[in-house]
Amino acid sequence: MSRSTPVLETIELTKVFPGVVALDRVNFDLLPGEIHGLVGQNGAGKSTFVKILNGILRPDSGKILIDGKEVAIPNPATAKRLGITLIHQEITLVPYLTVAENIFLGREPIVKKHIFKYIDRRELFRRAEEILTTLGVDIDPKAKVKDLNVGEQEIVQIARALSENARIICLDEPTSPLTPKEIERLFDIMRTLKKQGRSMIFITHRIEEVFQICDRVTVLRDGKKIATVKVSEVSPQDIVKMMLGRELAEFYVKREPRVEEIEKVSKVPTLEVIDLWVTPERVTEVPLKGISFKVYAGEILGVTGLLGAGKTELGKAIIGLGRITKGKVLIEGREVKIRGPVDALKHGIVYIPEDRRREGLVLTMSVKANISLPSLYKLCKYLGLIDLGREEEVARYWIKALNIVTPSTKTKVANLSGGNQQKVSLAKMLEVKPKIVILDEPTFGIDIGAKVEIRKIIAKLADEGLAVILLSSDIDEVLSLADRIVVMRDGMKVGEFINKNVSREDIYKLMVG
Amino acid sequence: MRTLGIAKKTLIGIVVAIIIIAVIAGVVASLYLAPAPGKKKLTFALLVSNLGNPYFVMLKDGAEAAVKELKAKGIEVELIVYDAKDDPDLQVRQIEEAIAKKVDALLINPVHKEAILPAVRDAVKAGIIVITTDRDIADKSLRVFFTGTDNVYGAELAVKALIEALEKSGKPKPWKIVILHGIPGTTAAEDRKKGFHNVLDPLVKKGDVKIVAEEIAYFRRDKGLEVMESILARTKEIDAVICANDEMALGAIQAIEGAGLVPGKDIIVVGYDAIPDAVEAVKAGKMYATIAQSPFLQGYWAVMGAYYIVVKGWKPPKDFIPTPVVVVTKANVGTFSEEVAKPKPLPGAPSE
Amino acid sequence: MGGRSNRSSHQATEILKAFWQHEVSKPFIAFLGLFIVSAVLSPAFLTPYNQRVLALQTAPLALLAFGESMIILMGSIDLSPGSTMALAGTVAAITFVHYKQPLAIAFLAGIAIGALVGFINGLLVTKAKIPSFVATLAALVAGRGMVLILTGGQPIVGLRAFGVLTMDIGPLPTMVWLMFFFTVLNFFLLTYTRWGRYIYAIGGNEEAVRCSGINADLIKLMTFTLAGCYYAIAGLMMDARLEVAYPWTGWGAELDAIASSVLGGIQLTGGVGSPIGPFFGAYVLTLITNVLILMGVNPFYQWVVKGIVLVVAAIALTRGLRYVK
Repeated sequence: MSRSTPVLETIELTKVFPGVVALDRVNFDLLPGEIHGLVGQNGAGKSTFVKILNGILRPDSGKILIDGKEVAIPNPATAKRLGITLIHQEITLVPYLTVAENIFLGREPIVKKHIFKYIDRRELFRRAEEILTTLGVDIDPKAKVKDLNVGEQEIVQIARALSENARIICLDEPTSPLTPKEIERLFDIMRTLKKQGRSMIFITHRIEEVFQICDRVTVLRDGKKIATVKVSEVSPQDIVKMMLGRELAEFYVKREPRVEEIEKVSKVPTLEVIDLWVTPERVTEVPLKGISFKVYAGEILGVTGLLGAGKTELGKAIIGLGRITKGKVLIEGREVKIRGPVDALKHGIVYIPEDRRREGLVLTMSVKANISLPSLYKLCKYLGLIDLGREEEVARYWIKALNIVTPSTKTKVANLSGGNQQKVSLAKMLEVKPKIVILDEPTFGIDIGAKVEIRKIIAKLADEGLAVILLSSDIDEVLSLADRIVVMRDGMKVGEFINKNVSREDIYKLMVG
Repeated sequence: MRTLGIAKKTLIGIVVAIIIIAVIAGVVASLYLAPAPGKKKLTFALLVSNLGNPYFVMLKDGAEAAVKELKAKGIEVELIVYDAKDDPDLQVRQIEEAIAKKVDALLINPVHKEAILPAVRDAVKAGIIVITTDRDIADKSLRVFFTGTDNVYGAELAVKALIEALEKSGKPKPWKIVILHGIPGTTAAEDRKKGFHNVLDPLVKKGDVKIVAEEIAYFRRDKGLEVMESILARTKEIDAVICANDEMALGAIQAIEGAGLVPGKDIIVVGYDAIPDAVEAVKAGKMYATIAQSPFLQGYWAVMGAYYIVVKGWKPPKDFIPTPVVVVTKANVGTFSEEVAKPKPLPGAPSE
Repeated sequence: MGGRSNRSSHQATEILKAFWQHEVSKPFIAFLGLFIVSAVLSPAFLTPYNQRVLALQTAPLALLAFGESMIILMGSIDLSPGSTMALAGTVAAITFVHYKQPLAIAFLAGIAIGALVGFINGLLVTKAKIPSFVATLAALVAGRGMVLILTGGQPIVGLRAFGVLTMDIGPLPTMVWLMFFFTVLNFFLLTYTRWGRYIYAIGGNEEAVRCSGINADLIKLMTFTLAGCYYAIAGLMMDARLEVAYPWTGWGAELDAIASSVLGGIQLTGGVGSPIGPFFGAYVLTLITNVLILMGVNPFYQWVVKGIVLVVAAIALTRGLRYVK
């Protein structure tokens, strides 16, 4: 790569939020045709940085240079005019419009006839087709966005960026919701864009991705730039060390599997599922076809599989959210009928959902109220009056036990970071003192520090004698924590191992099929 | 799939066949079974908006009284009464049915002044005489005449009664008067408002009357109460309240009592419509007067008018024949109901 | 400036800040502001008679607003308050006048019918899974129809005895005391009980509540039923005020109830708002009508003024939200 002028440069960029310095004098440069990785823990300032570049936030001090000239970016419209665009973490498309309409939303080709102006739909679809072809993807521009999968939706967002003629594309964690195949496709597209001379800032949680696609990488920690390095000159361990200030080995909490010893002690499994068949209630759900497994007290059962393998459906079916057409659920050897979470709770089963913002937490309520929600019945004396003193105690206990970082028990959960939200989501379900805990992607979308903490908590739960079902698509997580591993694909169980002498590759092959 | 399609087709076939047979049978039956219309026999259809309302029952009673009277004179009249239950669609169907029966006249008390127009037009095309009663229709060219209450006139009478009461009470001039109106835009509310002002405005100019408040209470008793309460909070120096209907007047009375004043003595209240509650209030002296309309005559005159037109080729001198209104006060509270339910000769009727 | 006064002024600003951040602060300030403005604009406003009238007019609306706000806090909507209050008032009157039952039985019958309507609404929403807007719209229409069938469109007279609600106990009429009682009760229910907490939680995220193993349907059913009771009490109050069971009582009151909730800072998306807010909302709504009549504003302009006040209040209350629907 030649030493050409950077297309984008920041000098001493600083942003202060009340109480936190989100960005502390960050110097950064982006070269033409470069894919520049941006990594760091949650709260390191990655999102803040790209939001400033896109005019969503305004810096408190520092300069932004485009092609060597200083610019001000007061709003997203200006950013777009300068050729900068942001692909959000969350999909920002209109679900009931077509792909083409989404790509050109607000900039539809217009035909004028006399005094009438209307959208030239043929031209719209033609142009959309053109852009999608340059990306080398096969998406029908006439399809409704709601019918696409997450990966395709992301590509539509990229297509939108291209239609705006963006030269600098910021991708904020685009890979986290994608399957490995989809990620591969995204990388192909990124390489195509790179060939066209466009520059990209690529934010990710997964270090290995940086090594697959990036030219250089910048590491942020606590709002400060730690380093910018060429990817070819460092190892993943180096990057992680820079991000965390500690070693990669601490990533995963290693637990010694002890299946035999457990089976010897407790002869009856705490939970046994026999030949479970589930019909989906929504089109997006995966039908389950004859799943069987056992979990003993003090054991972690790792269930792994790709997105869409049916892990979430399995978890939900156990707590009665799903139409079970066949099969049995046994608790401590006795068959039970679970018609919903209320019944599940009675039998000591709790489910901690993957989508904590949608299914786990009441974002409008405080940390305290969220933690006490499922166990309020224990906190009431008479007439349903809540013992506020005990509620506070309970909240404080869990904040301490799980190391939840929050200004106070009264803070709204919406204002906590993803990792801390996940801990609240855990705390509330643990407070009901369950026998069986089902965790659905517990470390999904949270920063590495919090991941480690959550994994430690999971290990501890099993040590305390709970039966734990860990639903996770992170093979390493399952390998490091589980006693027994079930692999799922397309709603079926495709393999079960005792976690001894199993290799990552074996599992991966089964997952992909 | 295939068998299903065949089954579906068969089913449709059967249904169509049934319908065709039914229609043919109906036509044949009506031709053979319907009595051949006698030359002298008249058939009138009375289409009432809602017989659940006692007011319209009186209208029907009036029409039936007229039929009886005509029968006594040896004129055969058949009266078919339809109840539309306040449903415009139902009334349209009833008009169509009446047309099919080849009635001589339609006496319509419309549910809606616009919705039934097409049906009425068909009736006129079929050569049927149309008369409207109590309420008019939007296209006045379609009916021969309309008989009903003149609300402007009634409202004028109401205010005159109020002024009379004020004069009797010996309260010093200028008299301070509150007006409560009905739902803006409705014919009744607008006409009554006009009538009130026709009488009051000259008096205001003369300095005999001061209008201290003029509010809208939507013809409703609860609104009448709340609005009057607020008016009383502003000033208790009020001599009289005139309301566009009795419900509001009764609400106002409630407010006056709540403020520790005596309705009928401190503040004179006049309403409109003579609903049973209001009649009771007049008896008790809480309300000075209310206006009674005459639905009986509206029905009676409609039938008589139709008879004159069909049989004698009468042309009414005016296309609006107002039915009399009666001011109900303590003096006639016991007798007014008979007064408005007595047959009276139709104004401008041809001599027998 | 000395250190001590500095500290106390600092404390004062802390208290002010805490107050400002409290959910009820904005509705309260709106209420206070309008109250002061009204007092300045009209000399008649502050008279004891007018204040009494205001309280009397607010009482039924406040009860409707409490019921409605609970439903809105759950993220649903209730269009049936007006019809339910009329039906309850009618049934109480019939029980008292036609069946000659004691007053207490008549009141209970009215409240029971309110509870029944609420219960049916709740069943339709939770079991038949009909959106609350539609279910309660049906109740709005059918409820009014029942009232007209039962009354034949004519008021039921002879309710002098209902005057126990309007007679004075100490300085204020019974029904005003009742309004205060229910304000406090509603506050306790929603703030300090499990039921109240679940209502907020369902409005905040029903899916999360269900996943937490809470019987959300039962809570909804109970809440709709309780709201029905509140509406019924409002209906009894109107009976007492008019001394008749008037069939058109509460016609359009559902909109006033929703407006009171919104003016009281209850977010229509559910889960956010102070339990006391609707009280101030109802008061403000009544106050505006009252003061406009006191000032003798032309009735047609009154509508415009009311509309403007609503918009201004709504702007103040929704400031800081990203977007609304």
